[in-house]
Amino acid sequence: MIKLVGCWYLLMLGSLAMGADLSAEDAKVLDLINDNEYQEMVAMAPGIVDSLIRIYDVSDDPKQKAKVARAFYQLGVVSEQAERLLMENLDTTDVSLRLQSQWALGRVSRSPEVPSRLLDIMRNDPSPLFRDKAACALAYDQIHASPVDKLLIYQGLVEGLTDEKPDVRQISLLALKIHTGQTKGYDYNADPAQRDQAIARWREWLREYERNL
Amino acid sequence: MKLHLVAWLLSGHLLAAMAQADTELLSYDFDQDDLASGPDTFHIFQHARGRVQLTRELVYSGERALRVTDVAGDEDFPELQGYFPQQSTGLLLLHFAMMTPTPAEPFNIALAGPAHFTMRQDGISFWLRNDNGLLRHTSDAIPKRLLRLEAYRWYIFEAVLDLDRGVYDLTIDDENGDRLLALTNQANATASSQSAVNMLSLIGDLADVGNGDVFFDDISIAASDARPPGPMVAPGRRQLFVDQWNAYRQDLIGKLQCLPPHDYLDFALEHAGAVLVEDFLSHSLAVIKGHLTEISPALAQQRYLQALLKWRIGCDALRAGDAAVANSAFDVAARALPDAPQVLMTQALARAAQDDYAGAVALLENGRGYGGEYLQWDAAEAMVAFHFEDDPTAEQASAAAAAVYAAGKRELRDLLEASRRADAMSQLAGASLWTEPLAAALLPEQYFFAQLWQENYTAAAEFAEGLVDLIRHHEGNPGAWLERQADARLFAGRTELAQGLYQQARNYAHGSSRIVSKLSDVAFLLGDPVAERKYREQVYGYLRELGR
Repeated sequence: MIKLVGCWYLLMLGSLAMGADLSAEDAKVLDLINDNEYQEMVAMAPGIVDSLIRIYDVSDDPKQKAKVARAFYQLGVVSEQAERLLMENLDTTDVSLRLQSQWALGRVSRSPEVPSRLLDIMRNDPSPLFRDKAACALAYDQIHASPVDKLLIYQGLVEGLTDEKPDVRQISLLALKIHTGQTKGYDYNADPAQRDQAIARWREWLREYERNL
Repeated sequence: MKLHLVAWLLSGHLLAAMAQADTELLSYDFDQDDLASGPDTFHIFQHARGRVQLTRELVYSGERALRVTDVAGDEDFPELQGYFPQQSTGLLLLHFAMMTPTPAEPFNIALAGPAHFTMRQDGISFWLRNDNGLLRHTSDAIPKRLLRLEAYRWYIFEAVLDLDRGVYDLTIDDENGDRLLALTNQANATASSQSAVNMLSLIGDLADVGNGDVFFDDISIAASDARPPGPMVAPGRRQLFVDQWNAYRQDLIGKLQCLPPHDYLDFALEHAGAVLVEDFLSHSLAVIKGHLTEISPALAQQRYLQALLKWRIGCDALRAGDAAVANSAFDVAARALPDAPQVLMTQALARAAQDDYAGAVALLENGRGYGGEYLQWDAAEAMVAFHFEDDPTAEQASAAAAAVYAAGKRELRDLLEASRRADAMSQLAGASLWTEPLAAALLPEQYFFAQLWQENYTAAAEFAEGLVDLIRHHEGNPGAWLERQADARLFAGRTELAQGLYQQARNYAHGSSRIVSKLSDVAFLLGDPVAERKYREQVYGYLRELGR
C-alpha cells in the first residue's frame, strides 16, 4: 500500500512539473492521457494530435512519452510530425517507449519507410522481444498501407522466412498468416529443403499479388 | 430471385451442380412486410451518420431495395449483417443484385463464419470490395480485379462456394442479362477448405473515408447440404431469448458434461500470440468440435493444440462418467491454457464429478473472472449445485448473503450483487486466502440456479426477492437479482410480474442488451407487438423505408 501511494505521489509530481509548461487545453489532454481516456481522445481527433505532439515534445519522461505514443496508437490519425517523433524512439533504451512507438508508427504514417524499419528490426534487432513486437506491428498496425505498400511488407515477411534465426522465421510466418490466413505449408522448424519448397510457393503468391496490383 | 431459376442462369461445374441446392437459408427482396431484425435474421448497424434503409427510388425488382449510405469521418460504418444457419460442407449459393450511383466510393460485401470478418479459417470466405470504381474479389488473400463499375448499372452476382474444397465459381451479369464475367475454381479468401460461414455483410467503407451509396436487391443464400431452418417462434428469432437457458437445461439436466463452446475466446486463444502458426486455428477448431482426434506429426509440438485435444478427451471422459480421466485431462489442458474460461469451467465440472465440492466451487469462482459466455457459467453452476443435491439449503444461502455484508469487503459485495462481477473476480483471482468468503458470496447464486434447474421456480423467485431486499437494505445494487427474480417468475408463467421486474433491473444496467432482449420476449408473450419490436430493435437495429 505504501508503495502504491508513493507511485501516485511521484506521478502527480511528474504531471505537475510538466503541466507548468502546457496550455490549459494541453493540460486537459494530459489528464486524458494519464487517465487512459482514449474514447474521449478519439472524439477530439484530429485536432487533439497537435496537443499530443506538444505534450510529447515538452516531456523528458520516457514513461510519459510512451503514454502519448499509446494515445497516437489509439487515435490512428496520420501525422508526419508524430511519425518523425516516434521514429526517433526506435533506438531508445526505454523498453516501454520503444514498444509503444513501434506499435503506433503504422497507425500515424503512410510512409513506406515505417514498414521498412520494422522489417529491419524484425530481422536484425539483437533483442528477440523487439523482433517479435515488430512482427506484431507489421501484422496488425499498418492500417494506412496501400496495396503497393502491402506488397513491400509481404516481400519482407517472405524474405524473413529465409532467416537463419528460427524465431524470425516463426514470426515472419505468423505475420503472413495473420494477413492471409494461410501458411502455404511452411514450417519454420522443417529442414531447409522443405522450407525452400514452401518459400517458392510464397514467392509465386507474391508474383500473383503483384500481377493484381 | 427464385431458386429454380438459378440453374438456367449458371454455367460451369459448380454453378450447374447448384441446381440441386434447394434449401433456402436467407432471402430478402425487401418487398416483404415482415423484415424483422433479430439473431436469426439480420442486424442493422447505423450508429453514426451512415444509414441502412429501404428505398423505392432505385430497385432491381419489385418495389423496394436496400440502400446503404456511408458518411466519411463519422467514425463508424453502416452495415447489414444477415444471419443464416452455419454451413461448412456442401455447396452454398449467394445471389444478389447490386448498383451504385457513386462507383468511386468504397464498399464491401462479404460472407464470413464464426471467426467473424478476419482472414483465417472460419473467418472471411468470400469478399468483394470496391476500390475507386474497380471491383475486386479477395482470392487466396489477393485482391484480384473483377471489373470496373459503372454508375447506375445493376450487376447481378452468383457465387457458388464449394465449402469442402474452399473454392468458388462466380458470375456477374448486367441488368439486361448479358454476362460480364465468369470465373471458376477460385480459391476462397484464405484458400481454406471447410471454412464455415454463417453471416453475410453488406457494409460501407471500413476506413471511414467513403461517402458512397450502394443499393442491393434480391439477396438469397441457399445450400445443398442444409436442413431447412426451423420456424420463427417470434419476430427475428427461432428461439426466445429466455429459452436459451431452457435449451441448456433440457440438454444437460442431471448430467455433468461440457457445454458447447461459444468461440475461440472461450479458450483464451487470443493470448496464444506467437503460437498462431502452422494452421493452428483451423486445427484448433476441428479439435474443439471433436472433428479431429489426432494431431499430425508436424503439429505434434504445438502445446496449445495438444491442450485442446486434452480438453476434448476430458469432455468425452466426463460424458462417459470417467471422472478420474476427465480431471487428469482437464488439468493438463489447464497448464497450457490457464486463462481459458472453458477449461476452468470443465475442470469445475470434473471436480464435481469426483464429489469434490470445494474444488468445483473454487474453480467456478476463479473462472468467472476470465470471461466467457454468461449463460454457460449459469448452467455450469447449476449443474454443480444440482450434483450436490442438498448443498446448499435456502437457509445456508441466505446466511451466506448476510455474512458478505457483515464481512464489509467491497469486492465480496460486488460479487454477491454481480454488479461488477468480472472486475471483482479479476481483482480477486488467485487470492487463495479468500476462498472461503468467496464461496459465501457465490453460495446464494448457486442455490438460486439449483432451484431453477429443478424447476422450483417459485422458490427461486422468492429467494431472489429476499436477496433484492437484503441488498437494498445495505444500499447495494440489486439489478442482477431483480433480473434473476424476473427469470424465475417468467419460467413460472408470471409474465406480467416478470416484465415489471425486468424493467426495474434495467434501471440498474443501462445498455444491457440481455435485459432488453428479455423485455422483447416478455412483450411478445403478452401480445404487445409494438413493445416487442421496440426492445428488439434497440438490440438488433431496424430497417425503415427512406422518407417514411
